[in-house]
Parts: sequence; structure tokens; C-alpha cells
Amino acid sequence: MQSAKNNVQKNMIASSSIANETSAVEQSHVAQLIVPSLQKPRTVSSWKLWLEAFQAVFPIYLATRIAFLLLTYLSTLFFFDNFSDHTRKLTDLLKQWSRWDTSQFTSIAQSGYTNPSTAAFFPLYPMLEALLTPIFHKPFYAGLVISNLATLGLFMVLYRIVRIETNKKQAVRTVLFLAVFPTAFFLAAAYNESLFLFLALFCFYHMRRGSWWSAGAFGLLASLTRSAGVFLLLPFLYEYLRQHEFKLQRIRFNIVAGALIPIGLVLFALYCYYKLHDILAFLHAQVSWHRQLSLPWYGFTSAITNIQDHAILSFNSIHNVIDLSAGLVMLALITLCFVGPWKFSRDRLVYALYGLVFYLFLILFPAMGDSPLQSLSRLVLELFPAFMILGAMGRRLAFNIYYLTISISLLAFMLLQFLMGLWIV
Amino acid sequence: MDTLDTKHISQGTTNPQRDTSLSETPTPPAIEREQQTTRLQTFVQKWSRATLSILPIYVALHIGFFLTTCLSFLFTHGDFDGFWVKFHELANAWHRWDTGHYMSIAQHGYTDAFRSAFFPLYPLLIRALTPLTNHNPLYAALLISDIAGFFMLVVLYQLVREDFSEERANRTVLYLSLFPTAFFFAAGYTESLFLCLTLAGFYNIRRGNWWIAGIFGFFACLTRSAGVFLLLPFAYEYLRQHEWNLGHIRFDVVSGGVIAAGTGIYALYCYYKFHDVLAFSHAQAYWNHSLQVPWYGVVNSIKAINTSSGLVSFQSMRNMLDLIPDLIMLILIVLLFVGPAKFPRSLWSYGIYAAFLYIFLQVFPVGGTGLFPLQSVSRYLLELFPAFIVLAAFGKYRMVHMNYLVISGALLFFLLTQFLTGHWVL
Repeated sequence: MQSAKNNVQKNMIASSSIANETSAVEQSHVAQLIVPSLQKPRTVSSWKLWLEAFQAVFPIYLATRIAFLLLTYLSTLFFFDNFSDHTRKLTDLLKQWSRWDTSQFTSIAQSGYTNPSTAAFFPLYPMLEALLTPIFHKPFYAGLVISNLATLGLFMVLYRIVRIETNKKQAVRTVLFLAVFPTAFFLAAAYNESLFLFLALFCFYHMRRGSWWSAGAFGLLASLTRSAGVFLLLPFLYEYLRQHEFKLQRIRFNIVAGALIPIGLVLFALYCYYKLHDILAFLHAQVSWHRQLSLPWYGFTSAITNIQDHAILSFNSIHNVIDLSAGLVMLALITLCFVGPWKFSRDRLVYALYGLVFYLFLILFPAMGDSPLQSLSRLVLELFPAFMILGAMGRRLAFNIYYLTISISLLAFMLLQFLMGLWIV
Repeated sequence: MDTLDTKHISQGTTNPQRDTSLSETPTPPAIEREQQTTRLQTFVQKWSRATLSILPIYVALHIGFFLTTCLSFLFTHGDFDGFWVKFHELANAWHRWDTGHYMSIAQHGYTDAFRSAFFPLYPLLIRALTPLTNHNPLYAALLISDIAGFFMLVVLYQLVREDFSEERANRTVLYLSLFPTAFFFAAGYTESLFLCLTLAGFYNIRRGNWWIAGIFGFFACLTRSAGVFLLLPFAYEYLRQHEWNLGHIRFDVVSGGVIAAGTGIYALYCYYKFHDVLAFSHAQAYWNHSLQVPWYGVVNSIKAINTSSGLVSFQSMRNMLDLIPDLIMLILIVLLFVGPAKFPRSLWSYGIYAAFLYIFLQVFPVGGTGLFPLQSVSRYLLELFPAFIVLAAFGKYRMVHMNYLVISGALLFFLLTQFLTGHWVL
């Protein structure tokens, strides 16, 4: 209770600091919006807050969707020679999004886990695909719909979270920076990134408000979506203890809600046992993707060696540089979660903790071979606290311009490569 | 060039009022000297602030261009291909389409009459700079474009800041820089040099520095045929600043003639070289440009889309990439005169320039096969800088701002990748 009060006070301070940035009219509006929601976190008058979140993120959502669709349409120009009279069907355009892992999910949606190597792909996303297939005819189309709805949802939840912790402008920036991150098109593709991030963010949202059972439920769904979901347990426990002032005698029965989070993983493990006679099939499947537990720096040193062995402007080096820079930039941002001018304050340390745990998990399982950090540039999308740091850094106009321009240039490059079926995984 | 610029504009600041009266009161020399130092200070302050304001977008964009150049070869080679590009050969990816013509003129002069469609200032500068760039005319061409592109943004920022507001200036610069064809400002094309000179001319027209405006206009006319359109805002502003009273016209109106002299000199050169004063105009026939009614390009572009083999075909997509920006620009120019963001009558010199230049772009569509009538129009649209000032007014709506930045930015890097991989973007 005490901590809840602290939260209210802090947010009052936060909202008054917005006053410097926003007009007086907006300020009163902000005060109206933020205070009741915090005093009564569980009452349903919050639909107004969600409407505000929708209005704030919708321009970003719409702009990125239009940009993706336009690039999908125009990318066919790369397949045509100048002045060729070839033509493609308009209805075939979306098929360009059916690349790489997409078919893994759709095959699970259609025929289940037939092959042990597919157990690396967690079940919630293909299950939803299968569920919606009757409406959208193909699991692939269902997958696109799920991903894009989840993206809208995750933008809104992310906005709400940052909005509560800081202010409106920073919340918009955080969402914008995530939305134009070079690999952000994976949130729109038939991959499970956006669904996972949506569920993990919702879990966080409820954690921060002390709604432990809801947090546990969303955590369960998240750990059914990606293996990483189970690590939501750590921020859950930390936040639970922090809100109970780290006093063991204050712990109540509702801490059991945390146990829901790993249940997602357990359910899938049991299913693996039943279907594939291997309770750790999801773990063993990583072998067929050439991923294995290594020292945290192995991926980096291996990538650097690979870059040195090839010409810098070659396919191999470029892909290693892309993933290596994603890893290093994120390392810097996760470090900035703990130290420096933008670090999370003591009572928000749970974000930094999430960032650290998930980052470690990402780099502990590098792939063997020429591209040790492969997919890292996509997987770092899950590190939403890093984007919160970027959002805080974006207070300077120049930073905004640099980030937007450079990130959009890389986003266009990676999306075009993906749409052409080139190796962007 | 730079010092010339500096001196003239510092004179420009001596007239803080926009509507200058010609009566000058003699001032004692001591005060004048003091005033001059403060003038110099405000001058330095003003332009260094403008420079700092445009620096982030200029640098960020060039980083984006560099990265795209490094990555572009991945579109022409397969996955896990052993192919690699040498670092010092990266710039060759920018050697596309018209760049070759400018380099050829720089190296060998106007050997063929059809090349006289390319005006001489840019190739002359390439020739002058080539000895400094390791005797590589491509580097010289790119260097000139990049330098001109920098000053272009500085002048645009200052112009909009003085005539409108700082916020609007920031957005105008951002929107122009991220326009889908804005990479041509960095390519071996005349776009940035031309717009830089035009804006400098326009700025001085607005400030009533007629002679300086004349000189910039002169060079603009030597860069592109469209340079003569500066005469329209010149005439409008001259009359407006002299209260529409013909009796107030002074000798400095002759500076307008200096603008036209740029085209005149080139015409004389064409006469000397090809015995045809209008060689540059007749050369357009070689490029299949011909005079048509203003709606010819738009109508035929829609026809070409209709008669193509499908919406997802080269013909349809290339036409749309010119048609849609063309129509958006038309709307913006109309909005300059009517609607919530219309300019006051005192700023109509912007509108007159944009409207006439827009019509000029429409009446010379490309014939030939007739399948791509608006070819290159999306690049020419960059010259219509007043349209970007109008767009910046609507940029206060987050819906417009966000959508423009993301969509236009994505298209910019798409078109650049197409250009760098030798696809038909010109």
C-alpha cells in the first residue's frame, strides 16, 4: 500500500514535469487522465486511457503499415528488368511475406508437431493461426492478422507503460523508435515476435500495478509463445518483493501467481513428452538449428573473427556486422539502464532487470558456423527497456533525426531483402 | 564563392525591413563602423544557427546513403555468395544515368548537340574540381552536389525562418531532405546546385538585394533551363517592394536582366558551337520532350497504367512513382493559395514561382513510346520548394508528420537502392 502511494506521488511529479513541455490545456487534461487511474488502478474507467493510447500510437502504426505495404508493392521492381512487360498478380504480393520461419509456424498450425526439430517453435502462435484459419482461409494470412493486431496492442501497452512512468512525449518516442527499428517489420510478419512482446508487456503492465494474477496469466501465455517467456518470472519476483518492501512477512498468498508463468513452459514440455516422447524436445530441437549454450562473449568474438576472415563488403561480413552491431548497441543500452543520465530509478529497476536477463539469454545461445549471432538483430526487439532508454535519449531533437533517418534506411534495406527472399532471418 | 556569398548577405542584413524604401540617410562614419561590426556579429550568428539546425538531418541522411551504398550489392548477388566489393569502388554505384552525361561534358565539352540539353555550370565546376579529386570526375561531381546540398538546406532554413517561423523551417528542411527523390541532391545531378542557387537568389529577392539576387539567378540559369523562372518572383517582389508604383522603379531593375543573361550566354555559346541559338531547347527533341497541354502528362500517365499488363508491372509502378508525387505537389501548390495554410499576399512570390514552374514541368512531358510521360518528374518536383513550406504547415498534425516521415523515408531509401542497383530511376 505504501509503495502504491509512493507510485502515485511519483507520477504526480512526473505529470507536473510534463507541464514544462505541454500547454496548460493539455496539462489539465493530463492531470485528469493520470491521477484517477493510479488511485484506483483496477477500476474500468481506464477505457479513456486506452483510447488516449490508441490515439497516440495510431499515426505511428498507420504510417509503418502503409510504408510496409508500399515497399511490398514496389519491391517487385527488383524482380523486373527495366521496361520488361512481366506482371504479377496483386493478390500474390502478400506471399512475399511468407519467408523463412513463417512456414515453420504454418506447418505446425496445419499438421502439428510432426518433427522434433519443429519443437523449437512454441505453440501459442501456431495455435492461434490454426484457430483463425477458418476465417482467413490460410494459416499464413491468419498469422499476418495476429501479428498486426498484436503490434497495435503492443504499441498501446508500451505507450501506457512509458506514459505512466514518464510522460506523453517520451511514450510516443519509445513506440516510434521501436516501430522503425531496422528489424521492426518482423513485428508485422507472420513471426511470433509481436505476440510475445504484446503478452510480455501486458504482464509487465499488470506487475507494475500490483495485479499479480493478471500478470501471471499473461506471463503464462508469454511462456507459451517463446521460450524466453519463462524469464518473466525473475522481474515478477523482484517486483513483488519490491512492492512488499523486501519483507518476507509481508508476502501473501498471491505470490503464487508467479508460478503461473513457468506453467506455460511446463505445459509445452508435457505436450512434447506426450507427442515426441522427449520432455525437453524444445531444448533439444535447438541442436538442429545449430544453437548451443556458450559463454556470453563467444558469439561476439566468433562474429569478429568471421568478419576478419572475409572482405568487409562481402555477404558474410555484412551480415555479421549487422547482428554484431545490434548486439553491441543493445549492450550499451542495457548498460545505460543501470548507469548514466537515463538510468532507471531504484523503484523502476525491474525494467533494467528484464533487459539484462533477456539480453543474457539472447547471447548465451549463439549459432555455430559462419553467422554466430544470426537473428540477433530481430531478437533484440524483445528488449523493450532498451527502447525506453532510447525514448529518454530522444528528448534532443538531433537524436530523433539521427535515429529516425538511419534506422529507416536500414529498415527499408532489411525489409526489401526479406521480401525478395534473401537471407534476413 | 563562399566569401562572395558572405559579403552579399551581410549587406542584406543592413536592410532589416522587408519593404525597403530607397531613401537613405547618410550616417557618420564612426557609427557606421560600429554598426558594421554588430552587423557582422548578427550575420555570423544568424548563419551559424542555420547551419547547426540543418546539420543533424544532413549528416544523418548521408550516413543513411553511405550505409545503403555499402549494402546495395546484396540485391544483385545471391545469399552466401563469395562476391565482395572493394571499398574504394563504392562510389561507382552512384555513376548512373545522367551523371555520365555531365562527366562527359566536363571531360570532352559539348561534342554532341543532344547533350546541350545539359546546362553548363555543373559540368564546368566538375572540370574545375577534377584535378583536386584524384582526377576522378565522379568524385568531383558528387562533391559539388554534396556541398551545394549543404548550402541549399542552410539557405532554405534561413529563408523559411525569416519569412515564417523556426518550427516551420525545421520541418521544411526535414521534409525536403526526406522526399522520395531527395537522394538526387547527393548524386551527380544538377538538382542540389540548382536549388542552392535558386534559393540564394530567392532569399535575396525577398530581402530586396536586387544585384545579389541577379548574380545568383544568373548562375541558376546557367545550371538549368528552369532558372529563368526566378524572373517571376523577381518581378513580383520588385514591384511589391516598390508599392506597385512604376514611378518608383530605379536602375537596379536591370539586375533582373542579369538573371536572364545566364540563359543568354549559354544560348550564344550554343550558337558558336552548333550554329543554333536554341540548341539546348531543340536538344529536348532528342530526349523526346515536347510541348503539350498541361494535363497531357497526367492523363497519359493514367492511360499508361490502364493499358499496362497489370498493376504489378514495371510500366504501372514506374508511372505511379511519378504520377502520385506529381498530384500531391499539385494539391500542395493549390493549398498555397487557398485553404487554412494559404500564404498572405505579401508572400505570393513563393506561389508564383511554384505555380509557373509546376506548369512548366507539366507542359514538357516525355513522348517517345508515350508509356512514361511523366518520367523524371518526381525528381524535378524537388525544385518546387514552396510546396514543402506548405507541407510543413500541415506537419503540425502528428498524423501528417509521422506518415510523411516514415512513408517518404522508406520510399527514399527504396528509390536510392533501385538507383544504385542500376534500375530505371532517373
